[in-house]
This record gives sequence, structure tokens and C-alpha cells, in this order.
Amino acid sequence: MNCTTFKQSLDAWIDGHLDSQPAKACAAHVADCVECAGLFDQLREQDAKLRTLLADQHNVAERVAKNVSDVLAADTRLANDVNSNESIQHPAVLRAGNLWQQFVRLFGAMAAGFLIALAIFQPWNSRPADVVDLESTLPAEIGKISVQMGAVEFRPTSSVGWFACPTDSTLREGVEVRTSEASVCEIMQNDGGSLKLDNETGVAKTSPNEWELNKGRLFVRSANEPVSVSCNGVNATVEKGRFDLKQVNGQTQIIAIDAPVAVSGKNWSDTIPAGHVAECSPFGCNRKSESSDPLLATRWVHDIIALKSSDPDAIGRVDSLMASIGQSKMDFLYEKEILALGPSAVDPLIAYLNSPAPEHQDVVKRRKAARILSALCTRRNEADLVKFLDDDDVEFCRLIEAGLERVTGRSNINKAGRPSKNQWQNWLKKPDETSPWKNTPKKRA
Amino acid sequence: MNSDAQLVTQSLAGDLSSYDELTRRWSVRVCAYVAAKVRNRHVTEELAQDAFLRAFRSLATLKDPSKFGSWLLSIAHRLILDWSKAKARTEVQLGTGDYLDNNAQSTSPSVNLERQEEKNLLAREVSALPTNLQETLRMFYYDNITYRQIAELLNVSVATVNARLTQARSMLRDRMSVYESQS
Repeated sequence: MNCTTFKQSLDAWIDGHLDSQPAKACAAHVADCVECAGLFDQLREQDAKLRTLLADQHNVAERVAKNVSDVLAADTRLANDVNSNESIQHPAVLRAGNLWQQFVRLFGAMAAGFLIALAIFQPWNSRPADVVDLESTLPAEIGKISVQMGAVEFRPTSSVGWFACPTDSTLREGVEVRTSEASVCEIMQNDGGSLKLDNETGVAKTSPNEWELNKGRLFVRSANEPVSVSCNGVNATVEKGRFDLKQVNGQTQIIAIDAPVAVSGKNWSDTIPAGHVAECSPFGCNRKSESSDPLLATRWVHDIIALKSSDPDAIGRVDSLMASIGQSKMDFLYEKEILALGPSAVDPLIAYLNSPAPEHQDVVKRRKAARILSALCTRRNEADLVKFLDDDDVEFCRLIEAGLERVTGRSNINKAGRPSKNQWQNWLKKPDETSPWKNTPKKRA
Repeated sequence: MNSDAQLVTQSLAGDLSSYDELTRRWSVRVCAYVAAKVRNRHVTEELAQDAFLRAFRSLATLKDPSKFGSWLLSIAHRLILDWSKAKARTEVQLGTGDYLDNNAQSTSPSVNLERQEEKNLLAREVSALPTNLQETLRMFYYDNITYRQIAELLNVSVATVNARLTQARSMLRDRMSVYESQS
């Protein structure tokens, strides 16, 4: 490369617009020619000065573009707000001499803002509209914590931290709930179905009607809608029935209580009949015998049912446990389990004793039910218990009266030596002497 | 990438984002064109902005949407003429380095006076360059703009851009060397 060619290429080289071959030739020429090297230094120094000098204009074009965009957007908004096209036809310019137009636009924006605020807050309406708006932005509500004991936590989504979860906490789609080593809880879904969580259990709501068991043990009851739970690549679904699900040795153990449970995994699906227990992996399901007693095997839920005054599970459970009484030598176990259900077993027991069904007329079973009822009843149940006192079975009546005596501290035995229903009914009608409001009429259920 | 004509049509249909795109595309050229003539940063900004807003209001009158650029520059040119007339009536003529005077004013007192003087001289010489050279030079020193982009905006060849830059720098070098020899 000679000096003339170098001078012609010098600007493009400094600006970085030369191809690699001519650029190398320029560099080689600078190394050899002192005069061109001086020119190169001079031009490079000038380039740096110009760059510094004109740096301030870098932002000018950007600012212009942004201002134009802002002005047009503001004018369009204003035109829409005040239903006037005049502004968009004559977009005001941000220039110092145009103060009047700026004032008009500012005043218009303030008026529009005031009207919007008025429409949002609706001071004439007692219920703020934004409450409705806020609700509509949240995920769908799926249910609530109906009962809990110990430290139960939840988080609305996996992107936030864990919060304490008291009873009646509202749960929404995407929620995760977990229990600690000494806590249990029940999630009551809006459709009537429920999930009972054992100690150290974690579940997540992954999609409508579907949960995922991350750890621990779960008791699922489906009411109107089927409920699905997935765990370790196994999916279990039940419709209008109950099942128990837990992780055992890397497998998923499922106990179908009173309805068949549809299970599926990787390229397989199966059904576990009611009263059966099975262990499943993502690759298959090992059927086990029906020898397992599903009610005794899932008696861990009694701790949760006992926390409630009534529970849909308790009714079926008491009926099933009562049905099991007399069929094996392990009757005491079934009695013990009904007792473990606590106050929630009272109403199912009363319903059991009132039922005209032939299977509920067995004398032995009725006496057992009466004994358990006597142990669990409260003053709320006085009236119901008194109704049983005209039963033909005197032993049954004595067991019921023992319960009344336990909660009232009195006994009404007639001359024949059997509990007197009339005396108890008269007592129920009298004002309650033990009440601090003894002058007020006694209210009974 | 949409052509100017497409963006104009979409803007007329009420799509403001299309006009934003046109504004971003042409703001460098318009600012450089105005700056080369008015030599004042604030006036440049104000007139360039005014040109875009006036163009938007009159967009429906543009017969050939593909000529949006030259039409926009003609609007900017008329605004510059109006500004020059108003300025002549109301103000005392400012010095030619006005475009960059604010840079000088914003520097701290500790800045080397000699270097500051040199900077002001260079600014004055840039403003004194022929409009086409000055316009190309200002556009080139706009952030990250290439020869090809300048060529597209000015509707000239890349070689012309290179030639104009070479000529502009050469003229500046010659004029600055006169000052250096005098000092």
C-alpha cells in the first residue's frame, strides 16, 4: 500500500469500516511510514475529540422520538377521555411559548383523573368496587382449611414464602399446604370433597380437581366431583368414594375404602376395587388381597374427625365400624375406633339408633352403640337421648340414662326401676336451675 | 422490517406504534439536519419534535407514503426558516458555536482552560462546515450508527458517506491547524 491509497482509506479504517485485508495493509503501512503514522495519530486524536464534542447529541434524537410518542399517546388518551377529537387533530408541542396549551391539557388530565377516581371508588356505594376487581384478579377459590391442629402452613404459589394457615383460611388454585411432624389438617373443597393431611404431609393443587402429594399421607373423599391425586408418577382418581394414599419405600400405597379407585402410570391404567389395598409405581400396580381392614388401616384420620363437631366421613365410618361389630373377635378395636372419633361420632350414632333398617335392629349392636353414645354425648344431645328411653330393651335404656346422668348429674328412675322418659321430659321443660340465666326459659335442642 | 409506506398507512389507520417506529427511524436524520442549520441543541430538539408532530397532523395530505422521509425533511426545513425569521426579528444573532456552548458552560471551573478553548473552537468549526458534510458528521457520531445506516437515511451510497466524512475531517484538521499555528 502506498501513501495515497493509505490516505484514501484512512477514515474508513479509523471508523472500522474496512475489510480485514485492507485493514491489515493499512496497519502495515503505518508501521513502515513515519509521515502516515503521524497523520494517523492526528486523525485518531481528532476523532476522539469529535466523539467527545458531539456526545451530547446522542440523546437528542432519542429524546425527540420519546417526546413525540408521549405527546401523541397523551393526546389520544385525552381525546378518548373527554370524547373530543380536537386534541388529536392538533397535538400540542412541548415548547416554552405554549404554556396555555399545556395548562389546558393539564387541566383536562386532572378532570379526567378525578372522573376516573370517582368511577372507581364510587363513594355513594357502600361496597367499594375495587374489592370486586381484586377478587376477580385472584386465582379461583377451591375451598378452605376446615380444621387444623398444630403448625400448618400454606403458600399461594411456589414463588412466595410459607404462611401460617389457621382454620377457615381460604385456598385458591395453585396453593400448596404442608403439615409438620405434630400437626394435621383437613382441606374442605367447595364441591364437598375433602383431603385430610397426616403429620409431615405436603400437597399442591396442580390443576382443577387434581392434587399432588409431595410427601406424607393423605385421605381423600370425593363428593360431587371426582378427585385425582398424583404421587411419584402414579395418578389415583375416585368418584363419590374415599381412598387413602401414602408413600412406602418409593412406591405409592393406595387403600380404596368404599369405591373403586382408578389408577394410572406410565403407559398403564388399572382399577383398585373397594376394600383393597395396592402398591403402585410409575410402571405398574401390584394388587394385594382384600384382607386389609380399610377402616382400621386408616384410623389415623380419626384424630382429625375428632377435632370436628360433625364430619361427613364420621357417618359412613360409624356405620361401617358398627357393621363390623359382632363379625370378629376384635370388636373392642372397632368400639375403640368409634370412641376415637369423639363428638363427631355422636350424631352418626344417634342416626344409627334411629334408623329403622333391619341391620340396625340387632340388640347387641344397639347396646354397644348406646354405651359409646353415653360416653361421647354432651348436653346438646339431651333431648335426643330422652327420646330413646321408651325403648323395649331396658338394658339399652339404662345405658342411655347413664349418658344423661353423666351430662346432667341427675337420675330419673321410676318405681319399676327403669329410666322414666316422662320425668326426663318434664325436667327438660323446666328452667335450667344450673344456668346463670335461670330466669330465662331453658332452650333445648 | 416494515417500509415507510407501510408504517404511514398503519399510522393513518390509527396505529400509534407505527408512527413511533417512523419517529425512531427518522429522528437521527431530522435532528442532524436541523442541528446542522440552527446550531443550538435546545432549538434542534424543539424544531425536530415540532416537525414530527406537524407531520403526524398532516399525514393524510401525504400523496406518496414512500416519500415520507423527504416530505418530513421539507416540513423541518420550513420550520427552520420560520425559526430563523422569528429569531432575526426578536433576538440578537448568536455566535456560531451556540449548539455546543452548553457543554462549555456545564463544565467545572477546574477544567483546563486551554482544552476548553480548543473544544469551543472545534465546535465552532463543526458548525461552520457545509450542511451536507456537517449533517453526515453529526449522524456518524450518533451512537452506534454505521455508514450503511447513514447512507440509507441520506439516500446516498456508502462511498459518498465515506467521502463526506473524509472531507469533513480534512477541513476540520486544516482549520484547527491554523489556530494551532496562531497560538
